[in-house]
Amino acid sequence: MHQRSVVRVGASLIVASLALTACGSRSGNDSGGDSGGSTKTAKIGVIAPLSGDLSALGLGIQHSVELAVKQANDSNAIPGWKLEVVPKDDEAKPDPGKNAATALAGDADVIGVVGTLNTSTSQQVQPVLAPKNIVQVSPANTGPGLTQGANWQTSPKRPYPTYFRTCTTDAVQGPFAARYLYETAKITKVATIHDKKAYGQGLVGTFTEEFKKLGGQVVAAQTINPDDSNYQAVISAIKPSAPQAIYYGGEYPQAGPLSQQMKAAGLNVPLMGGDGIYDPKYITLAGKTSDNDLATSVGAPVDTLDSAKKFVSDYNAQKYKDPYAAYGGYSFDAANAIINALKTSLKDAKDVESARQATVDAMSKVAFDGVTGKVAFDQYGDTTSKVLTVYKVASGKWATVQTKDFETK
Amino acid sequence: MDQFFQQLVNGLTLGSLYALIAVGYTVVYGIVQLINFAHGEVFMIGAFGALTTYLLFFDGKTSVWILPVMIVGAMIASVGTAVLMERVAYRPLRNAPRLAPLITAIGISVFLQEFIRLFYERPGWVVAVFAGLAIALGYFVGSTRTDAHLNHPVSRWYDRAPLLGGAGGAVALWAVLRLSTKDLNVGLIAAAIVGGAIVGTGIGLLAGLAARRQARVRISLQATAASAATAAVASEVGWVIFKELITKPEHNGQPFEWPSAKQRIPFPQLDVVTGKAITIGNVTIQRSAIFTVAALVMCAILLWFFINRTRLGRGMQAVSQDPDTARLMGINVDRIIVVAFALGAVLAAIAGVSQGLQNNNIDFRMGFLAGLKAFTAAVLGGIGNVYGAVVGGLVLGVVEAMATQYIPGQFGGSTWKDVWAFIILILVLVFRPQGLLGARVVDRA
Repeated sequence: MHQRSVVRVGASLIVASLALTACGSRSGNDSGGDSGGSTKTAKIGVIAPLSGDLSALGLGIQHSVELAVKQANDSNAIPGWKLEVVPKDDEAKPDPGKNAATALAGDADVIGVVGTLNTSTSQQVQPVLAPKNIVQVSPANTGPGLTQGANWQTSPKRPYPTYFRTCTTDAVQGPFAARYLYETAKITKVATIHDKKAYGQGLVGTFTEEFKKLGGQVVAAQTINPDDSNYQAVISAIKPSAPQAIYYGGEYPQAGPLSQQMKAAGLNVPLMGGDGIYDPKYITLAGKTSDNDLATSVGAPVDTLDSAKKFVSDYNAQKYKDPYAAYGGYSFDAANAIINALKTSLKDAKDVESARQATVDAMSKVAFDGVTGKVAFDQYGDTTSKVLTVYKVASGKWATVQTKDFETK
Repeated sequence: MDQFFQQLVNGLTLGSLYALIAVGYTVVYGIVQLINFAHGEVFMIGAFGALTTYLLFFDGKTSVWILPVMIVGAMIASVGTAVLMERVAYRPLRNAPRLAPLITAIGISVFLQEFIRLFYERPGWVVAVFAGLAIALGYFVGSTRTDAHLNHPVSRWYDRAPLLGGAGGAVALWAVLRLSTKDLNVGLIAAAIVGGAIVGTGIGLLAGLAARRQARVRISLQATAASAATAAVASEVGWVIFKELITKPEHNGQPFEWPSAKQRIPFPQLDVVTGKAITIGNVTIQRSAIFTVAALVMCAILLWFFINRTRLGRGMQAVSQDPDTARLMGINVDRIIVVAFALGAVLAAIAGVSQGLQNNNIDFRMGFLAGLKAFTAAVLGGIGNVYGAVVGGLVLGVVEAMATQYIPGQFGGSTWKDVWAFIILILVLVFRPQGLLGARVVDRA
């Protein structure tokens, strides 16, 4: 008896509350009319690590793209079209990256993607975006195989015509570091460590080849597990061969603690890495003993170029929560490269999907002066400018040591 | 050969860490036959507790006398987590089929990892914890003011209704008040306390009236009022602590921000226990390594003393041999189980502090891998056997270090050290399934 009346009351309450919720927010979906009218929307996706250890770099990429799109919209760069940014998190791992790419590829309004940060993630993203002809411009991938194929050293072949990048590759960065260590710092004995991921392994590979060609000696080659936080065993294994420097291929969440543990264990030599360790967080993690550690990064330091000063002031004016980090300038240039290509391809297009192939064709002809220098792509999709910089940690901050154009010898 | 002693030192350091965590696994398994997969997270929360203590009270200083306070903070965090875990998740499943608590443990492990990852930088949840503690404290004080027995198995919730209503009503008023005005002036605090006491007493009386039909005992007005007043005071104190300490308004001229746990957080490097390593011959010994090994030695001695020379320790031995007979002998088995969890948590807290000092950063994921290795160490030494856990941990650490150094060629180096550690485990279990020192599990004959 009692139970039945409870059921009756309860059921009627539920029905009433559902009816009430249906009355309310129906108006939310009409986003201001104008659907078939004058402005069409094209979306630029961003795939980068927006959470996790590398989120400092990923968020800088996202905000730089947002800045470029905002400037394009404000100046009505492509008449009749409005641009939108769709950020997706890849957590610096291949599988979430593939999911992000699949989500963007399934969206009919996506015309281009800026991403990714990690080489290993791009390897999964490229084959998803390429069949849909969505152009992908990376601000930070440095693995040479992404543009020149798996046999890039002997017979380079472009695997995906939709992939471009605004930064130089490890085929240049590794030898650049090797030349700096051997010729400028006069270091002849080096030990290498990498984290077994595509970026780190590739970087150490090109470094080792060039270093040996110059006449140097690689006294030890070890690896670490990126999930580990204790590197004592590796440091003790390297110490007896008395290297004069350690070359690390990998990113700052591991490089920072590695540097600190190395110095605490008595192996007091500089640690040199690639663009993956060039971040202020490296110095926070590596602590006070990180002075004299070195890093290379693609391009000249953003704050020294005149073209970059406007970017820096515009970025700071927008008051984003995170700084533009190491790849902000490259992401800005990547977004502007897509926008420049869209100026040609979207001019007479009636919808986004039909304009995708035209965008890819227009990309290969893009040439303008960007924040990081001249932006143009060669036949593989690589950038034509090969400027790199060496940085050193001095009193808790990264300081520029040397900026050079890499000449192929 | 020259590297042998160096790698031995490395191995013993690593092994001490595993040993401290493994004791927690083994003690719990010996008593309730449950592999507490969430123990790795208790270790991680201990490290975060130490970091929180440092950030709250000592931010920026590096004196070594901060270390005991940090260890105490770590212990509070990890013991609190372990005891709560036991009450909420494992006790209701005491008689369930063995799979249920196992999966629950894995679920708790994931929950704790994600909780720390998402909520460490947003300390708002602390207010809810303070509210719960206020209710508990109010109930406790109220129950001491009355000499009625409140544990009758049938009617206990009806008996407790007035006290819980009193404490709950006070906290409810406090919550409503604090959601509207967040300031701290004295008038508001006094109003919250007095108002909370009055409203709480009223609600307690109403609750007593409502439960009067089924309740066995009558709670006096004085006890209800006491519980309401205590709960009101406790919740206000909690709010003051939250506003003044946890959401510190100013810190070196900038608003204080709790570090985000989504990335590695640098751990404070204190003076004597970190810094330049000590070199003896050609062996470099890190100061944090000395701290870890010394901590293990001291903990092992104290553990032996506790298990063999105190009543609680003897009770633990009894319960791990035969819980039913222990119950017949008058041992409160539930309390012994809580003590077992707390004991494991204390050692895990110390391990958390030494991991932070050694690696100079902590991460919400560090409990998972360390827990897995520690469980392996506990099994290696003999599950249920406390000294087996210590020996197993040390052996595992030394094997990993030696494998990194001495296995040549393609199958050597740090890439394969985990593989060799687990191969040793397999071999030991194949030829000696009870582990190195023999397992000690309940004889269910």
